[in-house]
Amino acid sequence: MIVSLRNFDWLLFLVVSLFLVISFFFVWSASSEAYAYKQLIWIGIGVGVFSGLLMFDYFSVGKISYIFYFIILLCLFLVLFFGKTVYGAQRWLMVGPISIQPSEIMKIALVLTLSRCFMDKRSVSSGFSGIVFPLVLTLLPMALIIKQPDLGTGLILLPIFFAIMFVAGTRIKYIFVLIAFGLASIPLLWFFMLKGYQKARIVSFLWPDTVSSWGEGYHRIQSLIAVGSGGSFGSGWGSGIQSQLNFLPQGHTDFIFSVIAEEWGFYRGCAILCLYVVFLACSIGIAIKTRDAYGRLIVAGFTAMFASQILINVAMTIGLAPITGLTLPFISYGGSSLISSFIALSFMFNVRMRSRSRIALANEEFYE
Amino acid sequence: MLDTNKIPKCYKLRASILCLCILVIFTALLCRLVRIQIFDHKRYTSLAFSQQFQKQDIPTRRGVIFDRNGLKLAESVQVSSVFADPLVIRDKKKTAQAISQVLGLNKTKVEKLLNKKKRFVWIKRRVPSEQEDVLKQLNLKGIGFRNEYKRVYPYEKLCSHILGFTDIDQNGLAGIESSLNQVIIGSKGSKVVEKDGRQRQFSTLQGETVSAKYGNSVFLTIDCEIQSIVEDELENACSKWKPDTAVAIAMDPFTGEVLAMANYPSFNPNSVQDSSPRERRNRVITDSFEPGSLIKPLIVSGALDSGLVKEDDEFFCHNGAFKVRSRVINDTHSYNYLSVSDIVVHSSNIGMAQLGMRMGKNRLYSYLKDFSFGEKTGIQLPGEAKGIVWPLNRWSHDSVMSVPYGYETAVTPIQLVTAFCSIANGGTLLKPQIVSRITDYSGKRVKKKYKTPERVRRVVTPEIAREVMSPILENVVKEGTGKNAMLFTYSVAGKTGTAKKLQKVGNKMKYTNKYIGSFVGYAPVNEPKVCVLLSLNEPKNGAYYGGTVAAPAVGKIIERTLDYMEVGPQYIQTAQR
Repeated sequence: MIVSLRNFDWLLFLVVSLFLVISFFFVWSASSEAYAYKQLIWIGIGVGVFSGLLMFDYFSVGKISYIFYFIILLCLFLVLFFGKTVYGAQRWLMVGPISIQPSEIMKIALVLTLSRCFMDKRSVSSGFSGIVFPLVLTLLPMALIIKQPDLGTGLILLPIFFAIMFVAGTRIKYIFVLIAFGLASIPLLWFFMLKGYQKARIVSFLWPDTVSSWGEGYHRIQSLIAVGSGGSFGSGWGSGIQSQLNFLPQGHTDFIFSVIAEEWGFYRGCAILCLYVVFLACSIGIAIKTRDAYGRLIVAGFTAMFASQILINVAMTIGLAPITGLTLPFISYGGSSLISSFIALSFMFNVRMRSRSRIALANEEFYE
Repeated sequence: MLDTNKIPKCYKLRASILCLCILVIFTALLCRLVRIQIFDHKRYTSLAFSQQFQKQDIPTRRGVIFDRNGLKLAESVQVSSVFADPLVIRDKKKTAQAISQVLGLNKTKVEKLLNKKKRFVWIKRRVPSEQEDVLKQLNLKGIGFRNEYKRVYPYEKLCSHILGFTDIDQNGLAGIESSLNQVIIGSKGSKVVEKDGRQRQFSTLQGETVSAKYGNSVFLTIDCEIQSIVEDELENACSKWKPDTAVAIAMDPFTGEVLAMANYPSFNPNSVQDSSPRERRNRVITDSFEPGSLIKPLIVSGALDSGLVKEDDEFFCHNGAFKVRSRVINDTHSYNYLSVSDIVVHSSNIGMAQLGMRMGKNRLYSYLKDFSFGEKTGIQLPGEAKGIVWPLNRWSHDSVMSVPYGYETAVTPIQLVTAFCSIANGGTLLKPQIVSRITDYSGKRVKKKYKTPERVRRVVTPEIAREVMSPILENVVKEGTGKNAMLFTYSVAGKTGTAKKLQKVGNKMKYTNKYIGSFVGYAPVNEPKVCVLLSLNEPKNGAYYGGTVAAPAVGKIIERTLDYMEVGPQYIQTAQR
């Protein structure tokens, strides 16, 4: 099927392109030229995946979403037993020469599956029992991912779940009940799921004065110093002391925003934040304009995923959130996160480009 | 085409609520950025600087301590110390194992150090160079070396009480090391280095470096040769008489320079940690005692100087027991009439008591003060005691009798030998000296001058000192209590002293049956080269008289010292006898 480029979202495309350019230069600044070119290769692969997926109708992908979901869930189980350990966490699964991070793909699988689930009118109208199944679909991978341990990616599944549920029209009452449950289960999470270093990071976030600035508080302090010493105009590209002298760890991945803030300063840092606002506004725009429920929910889910990742990552670099291993979409270095972002982006474009022409058929096809 | 009305209203509302949430959070992030990047910018910049640039000390080197002839008595040598950066070390167990094996340390202790959340801990300081080489070859991550200086005393026990010692950070804690610390220590330098996040140092800032200034060197007045003679003879006397403690000191009577100063027991300053405070005490300076008969010649010289008596005036000595009011003063031997000079020669307490009564307390007090008893001599050694001379209003009726034969007054050995030097040199009290000169590390003399001799005051007239007192003291050795100090080759003048010790019994101070036996002597009598005091505290093995326990040792010290000084023998005939 030929998709008309008339509905292609050029603004969104432009914004993402800007992110990718920024990514290339700041990965370079924060680590080395070699990493920057590797990132360029990943961007290439990402664009390929993006355009490849545009060929397929999101409805047809939606049909196999359950199968997709269970395969990834199986992978998460496998990771727990056979995963490759990097920095003390089992997150990677080796498939031949390629190492994949199933937790990244799980975010996408979950969005597709939950949308499919909530699109069924019954799960919205049948009261509280209707949301139990989607909840289980969310909590199962979440537990597995937190167990890896990867608290950040695990918790990202929650806003996805809530956003899709909210947009699907579930009664507010139920949402509050769920939030109450969630809060009540925090002690459970603390005592049975979290590892020592994760607790230490949360403690160091809540009570920064109690931890040593060379120990648990190190990342937080160094990131704050980087952002703070950037000032209004920054120290210039490639001349940020904190990142160039290796005071800031993971400057090219999780803490790339600190590097940008240090080298580019407040105004340009804000400009990037505004670009992200534009990005999110575009995605919400797509969701609002989409008339079929499935497309709308998919876009809502991905928007929630991007929004929470961006907000938590930036908050973390300026000391407003605990240190979790979340990347900044489209800017942080790393294949898995880049590919999964491109896949998500591709679905949003897909919805935008196809929804208008497919509305009429939509419901019959799905509820046959 | 379907119309937009199909989109439920609540859905639009909900989407805008989500939008609002996102906007609120973004605004919060922006506010935080303003706060950090604009308001707190300076604070974070200085934090970044302080972790990037570090001020480091450049160690300085303590000056050398020489004896008067330029022999090195104390010097600083460079050694390596091992430190660790625990945060860089990944495998703490393995590292701890390797370090403890090479350095011979307790493994669990090392591991504890490595588990500290710090960026700098000392593992072991002053590591021998073989261990350093082995450790450097292992090339362990997070283990570093720093150059430090270690104080070394090549002659070990020799002069230990004079030299003192330093702590591990090269600060002087005792002796010359302490009293002249400011002169010897030099000043630390500093440099500013730039470090990266892994604490690797990659450059030193130009223009920020202050180089270290090496400490000045000190030349003592001590002569190592004489010091070892004195220590040797003191050791011999101590092994014979087993005293509790003992001191010996040799001084040049005409300059006041201390030539030797020894203590028993002694210690090795290279391993201070193995010694007790009792061993480290320099009793020549810090301990005062009642001098007993040693003070008699000084009182007599005062009496003669005032013209109150002549040396051949006679006193009735009550045949060995003199009853005054409630007390009885005894002599060891009984005499009926003794001239003033014989009172000194035979060390008669009764004679001294009567002389004291004739002089009266004002004169006694002023002569004690003239000899500078009861005040510090000002020698450049730490912890000097003043001794005790009671103010006149605290003197009792009996004091005029007790003071002249050496009680109710406490003096330090250094005060005593200084006082005798004033008799030996013809009546001038000098300030005792221990430092002869100070030079910088290259040997250039530093401005500060040490004037020798440093006169304090004239105590007695030269005629009385030379023509009356010296012959009397010579007679003490020739025919009196000090015969054991007599030498075949040189004429010796001296005085014995045997003082009962005042000790606390219950709540009261009482005289016990413990003694301090001393002898002070100088030679040759007509032109004294050296004045020696040796004092044994609580000698055992059956004898305690100064004439028995101390005089022979002083005799030998004088003989060997004058030999070393190449002073020609005087009594050729006697020697041939």
